[in-house]
Amino acid sequence: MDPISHIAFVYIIAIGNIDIWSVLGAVVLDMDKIYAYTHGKFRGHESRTILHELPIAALLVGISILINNGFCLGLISHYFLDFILGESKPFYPFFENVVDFNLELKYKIGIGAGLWLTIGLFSII
Amino acid sequence: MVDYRAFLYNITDSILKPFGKIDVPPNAISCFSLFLSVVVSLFFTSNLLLYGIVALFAVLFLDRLDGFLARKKHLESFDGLVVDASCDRLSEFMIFHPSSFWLVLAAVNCYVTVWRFKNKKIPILPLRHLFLIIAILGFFKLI
Repeated sequence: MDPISHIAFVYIIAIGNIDIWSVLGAVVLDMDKIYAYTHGKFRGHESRTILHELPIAALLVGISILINNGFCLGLISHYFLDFILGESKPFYPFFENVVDFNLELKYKIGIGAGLWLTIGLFSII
Repeated sequence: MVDYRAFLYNITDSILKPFGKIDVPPNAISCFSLFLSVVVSLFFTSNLLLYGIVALFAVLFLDRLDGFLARKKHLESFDGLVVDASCDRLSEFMIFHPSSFWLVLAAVNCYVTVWRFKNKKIPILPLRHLFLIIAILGFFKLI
């Protein structure tokens, strides 16, 4: 999912009460794309590193509570959206099973558009 | 020794029997329950306790239903278990995000789940069930 959709999603689940930490939490995990893309991995779970999987997520969420609650919420919203819309290996490196809900592209685009529209409506109101 | 797990399954399966003919893949139900967790989280964050309790009950019901349907349609697999467990853990993160204490427990539960996959005797912490009980007690001002 694109960074704007991640920010829109954290904005929605925080009911508009976001700060720079929440935004940072929502986008920072995608820094691993730099590694994946430079290694020629562009699709599905291949384009993500171990940072995107549950055992590391649990660790990062646990640590982020100590840093900032908003940052923690940003991370959770990021994991949530990527898990539903993409392909992941949730218990990697312990188990290699791939989870993919196989949502059609039109639904993924619809969810993204819905998030953008919601944040647009929020900002008008 | 009494097999409490089988005993519990028997009870829940008999309750869920009327839903056995639903023609929806168990993974789709897990996915829907995950979406519903966002609604639960929004209700609790907005202090709408009663709505939160009802929505959380629906999440837990769907969580039971997907396992029941998988067993009924003989679709049980380790892949399905991974989908179910990962949805449950993410659902916990989403529901508990306003509370640091519950978030730490949810994080621990991720590792308990990994441990359980390796050793079936390890019980996964029923955090959302506990949270529901505490929310109900809180609603009736008993705690």
